[in-house]
Amino acid sequence: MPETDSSISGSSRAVRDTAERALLGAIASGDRTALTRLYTDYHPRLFKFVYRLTRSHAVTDELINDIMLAIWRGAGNFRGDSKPSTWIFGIAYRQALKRLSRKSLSFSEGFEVDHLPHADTGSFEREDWVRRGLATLPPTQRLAMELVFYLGLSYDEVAAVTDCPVNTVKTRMFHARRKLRQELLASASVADSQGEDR
Amino acid sequence: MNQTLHTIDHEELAALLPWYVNETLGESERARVQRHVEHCESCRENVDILSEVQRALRNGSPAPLVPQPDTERLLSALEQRERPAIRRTLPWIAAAATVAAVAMTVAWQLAPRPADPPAMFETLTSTGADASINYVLEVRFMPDSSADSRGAFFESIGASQLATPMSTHVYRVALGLGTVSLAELEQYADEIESQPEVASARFVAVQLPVE
Repeated sequence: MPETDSSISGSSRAVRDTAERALLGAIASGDRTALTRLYTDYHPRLFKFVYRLTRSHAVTDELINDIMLAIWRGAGNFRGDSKPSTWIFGIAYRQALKRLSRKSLSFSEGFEVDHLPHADTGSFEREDWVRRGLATLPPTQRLAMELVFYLGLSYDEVAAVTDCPVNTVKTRMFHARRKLRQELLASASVADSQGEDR
Repeated sequence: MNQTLHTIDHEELAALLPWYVNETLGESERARVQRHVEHCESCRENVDILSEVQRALRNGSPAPLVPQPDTERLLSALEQRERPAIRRTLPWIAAAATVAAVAMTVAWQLAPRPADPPAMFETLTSTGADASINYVLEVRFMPDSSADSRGAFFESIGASQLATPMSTHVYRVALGLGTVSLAELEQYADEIESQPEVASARFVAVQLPVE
């Protein structure tokens, strides 16, 4: 996870991975203290990731609890062939995807224009077409965008988190990019016609 | 020939642009994409678009104020979920149930039925285990759920499995809920779907007792 690993050295990362593997092992054997330790360690990262998608503290709290409960029940399935953080964010991804795919919450609700800072009109307009473009994407493509550009994951890491072949990940990003480009062109077209009207 | 090779190269390298922009490509891939982008106007335009998206996603929203982790709330949720949570709602559903033959007919029509009823329906009705109405629930589990947790889950909702799983994570189970309305069935499926190990849940059929 580049967002979380970039600031620490390779040896520190290895030490952390080992400690997290041990925690998952303890959780698999029913150790609740290990679960709360993992929860405390991961809470800030999970909160930021989930909150971006839900824009609701209450829903984020609930979703993080669901993620931790899924870890509690699934820790025995962690075979150690990926980094613990990849496995944990994989669970976070699936829980978020499930929640966002349900009718009660939509991405458009999760990316409010009012939350975007706009120091100048130009930056606001640029972000606005991004926001509108992202809101048109299906959940899998939108989440792929978040994983790549917010969490900064490599294509192998996205494939591991989403439990998909690398080619599927690339295809999702291709379609997402194409839709965003269409949104940009539409946005430019509207801006041009408004300019002509003035 | 050169044109074909160029097209293949372009498609392969264009697919890597998101990771060129987020700077996670290996050195040799990054260098290949870099050389291609210098000569490909379309890819340069896409790099600009993706860079804009990255800026918006990374900087466009203020970072939330992260609250302190609430371990007590987590453990309380754990306690609650460890109990057979779904079963708690069954008496409520039963109590609220009204005779709804019409609703059952609609429920039966929720899913397309094959011309001949599947063998599992015949098997269940022929046992005569109970003369109640069984609702067939299709549950798709998260890929990280274990066989143990799936079994415990079915036990907690009092469901009996119908035949073999449709795939490793997709099961159809029978639930004896009595007479319930379609809205109640949907509410119940929503509640099951809200469980962390469940990816989706929907009622696909209703099985009526044989006279």
